[in-house]
Amino acid sequence: MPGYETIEPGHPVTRYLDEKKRFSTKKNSVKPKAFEPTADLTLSVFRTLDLNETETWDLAVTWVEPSRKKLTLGRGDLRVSEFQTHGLIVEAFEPPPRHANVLGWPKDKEVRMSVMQEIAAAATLVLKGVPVA
Amino acid sequence: MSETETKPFEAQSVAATDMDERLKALQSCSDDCSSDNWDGKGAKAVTTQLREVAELFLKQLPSHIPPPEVEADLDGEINFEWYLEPRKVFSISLNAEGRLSYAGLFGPAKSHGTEMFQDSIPREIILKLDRLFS
Repeated sequence: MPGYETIEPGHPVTRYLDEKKRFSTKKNSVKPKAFEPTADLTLSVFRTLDLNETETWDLAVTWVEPSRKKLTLGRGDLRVSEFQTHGLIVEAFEPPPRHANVLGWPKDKEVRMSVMQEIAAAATLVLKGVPVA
Repeated sequence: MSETETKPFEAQSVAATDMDERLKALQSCSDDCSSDNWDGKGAKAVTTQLREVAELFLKQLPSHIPPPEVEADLDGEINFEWYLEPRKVFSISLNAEGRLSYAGLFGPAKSHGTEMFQDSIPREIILKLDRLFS
């Protein structure tokens, strides 16, 4: 069975969140700007296939926090297929291990914003320190 | 508010303090994002010209529309967002020329497009906001 080296539609990916304004605890949801690509239209995610909760958070502590210089507060989990549905490509981009870029964002700003909203609505918020239901 | 969410629509008018807060947020994001690469990943600067246009936009929002959250986008535009829930959200991004790029989810329906902000907020935008809060 292929491991995380391959990227399949059903594989889980996560977007680590380090700002409170990127999610709503009241609505238990991730907000669209959490999925805003950089100016060169790249979004950074991690592939979490076969990782347990501790290992998933360890990825953030080891690789994301030193780079962002911020503590991770939560994450938005979703499947690769949620990106692919909107014509986006999830492409492995290592190091760090399990890192991937989401590419192929629409050039038109308003379409990009719409895609960000759809992806955020599909994401599951997981807060650090809160057990997964 | 403990969270950065838009206040419930029951508050039918915009308190001056709310608007003041949004104007301060605009000033703050304009100050914080006034140089290129403010995110360390190539983000574009928010210009003084854009901040002025954004201030006009904020002040022209109808009084029955709650003030939005205000933030800089990574491409240097200013974003206004009304977030009620995952599928009830409306966002507008404004550039220095007055182009308004907007997108919204209204339950199962969605909408996106562009308008121009010149002397007033386009009717299409107001209709979308009314739909969000209906």
